[in-house]
Amino acid sequence: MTTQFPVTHGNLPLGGDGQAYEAGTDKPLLEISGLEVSFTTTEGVVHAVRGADIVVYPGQSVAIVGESGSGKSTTAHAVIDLLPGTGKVTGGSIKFDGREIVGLPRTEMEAIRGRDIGLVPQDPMSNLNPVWRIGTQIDEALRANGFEGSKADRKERVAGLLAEAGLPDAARRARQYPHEFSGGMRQRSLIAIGLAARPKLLIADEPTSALDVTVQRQILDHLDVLTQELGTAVLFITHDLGLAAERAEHLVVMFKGRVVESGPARQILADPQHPYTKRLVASAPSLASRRIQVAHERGQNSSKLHAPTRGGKGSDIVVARNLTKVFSIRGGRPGASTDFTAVDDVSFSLKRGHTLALVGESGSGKSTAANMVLGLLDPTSGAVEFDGKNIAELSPKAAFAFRRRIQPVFQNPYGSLDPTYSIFRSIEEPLLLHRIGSKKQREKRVRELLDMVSLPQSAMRRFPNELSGGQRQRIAIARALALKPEVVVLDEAVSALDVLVQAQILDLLGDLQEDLDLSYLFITHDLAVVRQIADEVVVMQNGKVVEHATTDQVFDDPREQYTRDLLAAIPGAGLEGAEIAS
Amino acid sequence: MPENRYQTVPGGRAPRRGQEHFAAPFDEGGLGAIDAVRDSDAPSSMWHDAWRDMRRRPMFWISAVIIVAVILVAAFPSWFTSVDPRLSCQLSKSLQGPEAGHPFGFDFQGCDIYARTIYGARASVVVGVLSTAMVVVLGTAIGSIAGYFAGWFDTILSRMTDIFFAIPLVLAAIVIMSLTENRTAFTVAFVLALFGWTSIARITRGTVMSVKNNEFVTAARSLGMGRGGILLKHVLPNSAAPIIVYATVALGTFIVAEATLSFLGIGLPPDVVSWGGDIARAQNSIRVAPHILFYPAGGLALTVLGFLMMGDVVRDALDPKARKR
Repeated sequence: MTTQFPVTHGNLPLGGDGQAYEAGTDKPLLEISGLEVSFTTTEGVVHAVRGADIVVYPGQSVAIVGESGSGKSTTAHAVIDLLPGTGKVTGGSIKFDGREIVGLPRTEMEAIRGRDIGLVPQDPMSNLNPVWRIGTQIDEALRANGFEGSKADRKERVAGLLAEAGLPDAARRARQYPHEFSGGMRQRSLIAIGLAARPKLLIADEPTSALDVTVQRQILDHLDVLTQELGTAVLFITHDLGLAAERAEHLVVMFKGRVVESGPARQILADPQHPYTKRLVASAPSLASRRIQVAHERGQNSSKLHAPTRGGKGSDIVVARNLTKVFSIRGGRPGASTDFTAVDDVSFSLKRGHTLALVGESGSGKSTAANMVLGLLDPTSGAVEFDGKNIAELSPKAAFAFRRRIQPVFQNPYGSLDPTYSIFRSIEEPLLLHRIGSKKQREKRVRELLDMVSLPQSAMRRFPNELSGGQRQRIAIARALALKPEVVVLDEAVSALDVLVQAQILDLLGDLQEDLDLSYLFITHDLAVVRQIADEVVVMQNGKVVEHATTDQVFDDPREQYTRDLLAAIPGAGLEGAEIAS
Repeated sequence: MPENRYQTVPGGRAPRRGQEHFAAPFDEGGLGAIDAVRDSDAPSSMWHDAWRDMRRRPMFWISAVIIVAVILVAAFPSWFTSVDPRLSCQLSKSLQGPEAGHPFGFDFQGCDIYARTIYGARASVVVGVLSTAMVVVLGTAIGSIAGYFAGWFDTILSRMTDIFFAIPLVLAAIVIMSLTENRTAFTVAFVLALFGWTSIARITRGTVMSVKNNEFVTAARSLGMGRGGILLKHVLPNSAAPIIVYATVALGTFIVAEATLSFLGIGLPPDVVSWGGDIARAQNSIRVAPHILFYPAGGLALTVLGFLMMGDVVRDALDPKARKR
């Protein structure tokens, strides 16, 4: 897991004039003032960015923070004149190196793009052309940006760029295709492309959001080292305030197309002024977990910060005993299948009224384990006991009754509700299926459930496509609670939501647990969220349990290296000593 | 709290020009709106949206008028003409032009062309609707079972679909129909359906395979719903759009296929009035009286055009890519 990538040693080849850009001058590199961007849609004109002011100095790192729809990516794309679709800059100015670049002819803009301003895009999976070798794609970037030299020179430079982006054995790697690379390696290649022409400014649009947390940290560390050595200014686009504060000295917080607050990173963390920033500082999981940890180390245990730690009392409601799941992967010809052990001898137990978090990166087997607990997947060996009974040995009738006692909530708020069902029908479905109550009673129960998840009762006439992601997730929770289950399996249930909505849903889950005495099995890749909600943590890696302890133990005294890596990967871990407003 | 807190930034410098701590006025933005539900507008489902979209298209109204008119004519031909298409023929009027009460003139047998065109609609519409209905039932059943249950079901059913797909529709229908003694609208529709279901089965299989991976399907499973229930209540309703689109287009094709068979003399029996049969008979006297070919052919073309246009409109309205969230 911990592949060692080489780090450069300060002798990187430099761009055109052979000079690193001098940091610390008073002349801004990028000066955006009063920027207005709008999109024309069938519904009329949408103002995506309204009067944004941003200044970036040479060699400086600046982060734009905001949730989806805040205009943060649109602002960045306006700088490199790559606005999608009908997007247009309708006002304001963007000055790069003292030169106005709004309204520049296409050819001049193309000369700036890549050569002066580089871009590291968000999704490493779709931003490399799958039919071309990695080396060819970097070579293309070099040639497009006016690199002069023979074929051999270019080849050498491509290998050099890949090596500097942290890929070992670069010359061989350059001949490989994107599908042979892992997500992290692809993102490194994209960084190599972004820095190929030694731009003065690098725009990194959520550069690591699609990657596993531990890989995320390595890549960001490496990007830091590279840009510092080259003197490149970096404009980060991110939704994570903790990550932004850790990586940039200047923050710009955007909300609904406006800059609501900007200033030195630590000052914003310590003393946010705008109500939106205050909420963001209070809700960002990375910061919240950091705050809890600080309070915990000071010996405080504020119930305002996280659910009070429950004592050891309470019987086990779900017990997983030596769960193993082996999938056979189909080979090229019949019979030529190979076995893949997704979950390997995993045991844990969930106490009544408690929250157990199953933490791991993609491929750790956490979701497979959850599906076995839900009875949706039969274990290859081992057993799941629910309230003392092995669920695999239940009679069909008892198995049907078991469904009422354990319910899931899934990650994707857009896929977990049937788009052809109204909200009322979605929530009523479990009641109808289990023949509970008359039509009138069911309607009353649906209204009750909507109240419980803090949605207006009028929402029940709506269809899923009319609701926001957070609202859909509330509906999914209401549906899961309809049958009054004792256990709710939350499979990445808040991972796809914006920070503030995520905090709201976590609050809601906490309240519901108090009121209804629910037990949660919380599946997530994000240890920061775990700090806020879980009593106990099971850390999984490659299908095996690495560590199983209480949340406090895991955060205070992690025993395994992998757990330590995961903890270090929570953005904001580098904010040691920084003051964070609560 | 130290007074100079704001002066210390990493690197120990004071904020530079344009980077001082700035906060926008508080009233902007509307924080309360983060999680508000719109409860003023009418609720909209996929079908509501599609209907709203279709309503605005002139093509929808043109094709709807054509289809309604054709169906009315097929169901109640006596509302449109009082002349009997078979019994009121007078050989003395063979191939004569239009006259009062007979606006389209007469065919070779001296029958009224207007009456024959009106009565001919029924055969086309009945065969078209019947075979489409059978194709939808058969194709959806086979496609959804193959797609939903996968594994061996899928292997067997998909190969079977491939085999049927390889047989040309009209060629197979000609072979079977020429062996059939009692030919009625039902037998024609049945034979067409027997070889025409493959496309719908393929479309359904693909859609079902993608729909069944949705989390709402897993949610239904964990509620304890059986596989059949999930298929009928969740998977099929979400796969309906492409099936409906294809069915409207297929209806046009089947009407053409029926006319082809009747033209070849192996479709409907000669005593049934049908556009295909009339076109075949008009062929004999096409040089002397082209008008007797024009009317049944026109009726056929108009009907097929109506259904094909409707298929186009429905596809555009249901296309998820053309629709906004």
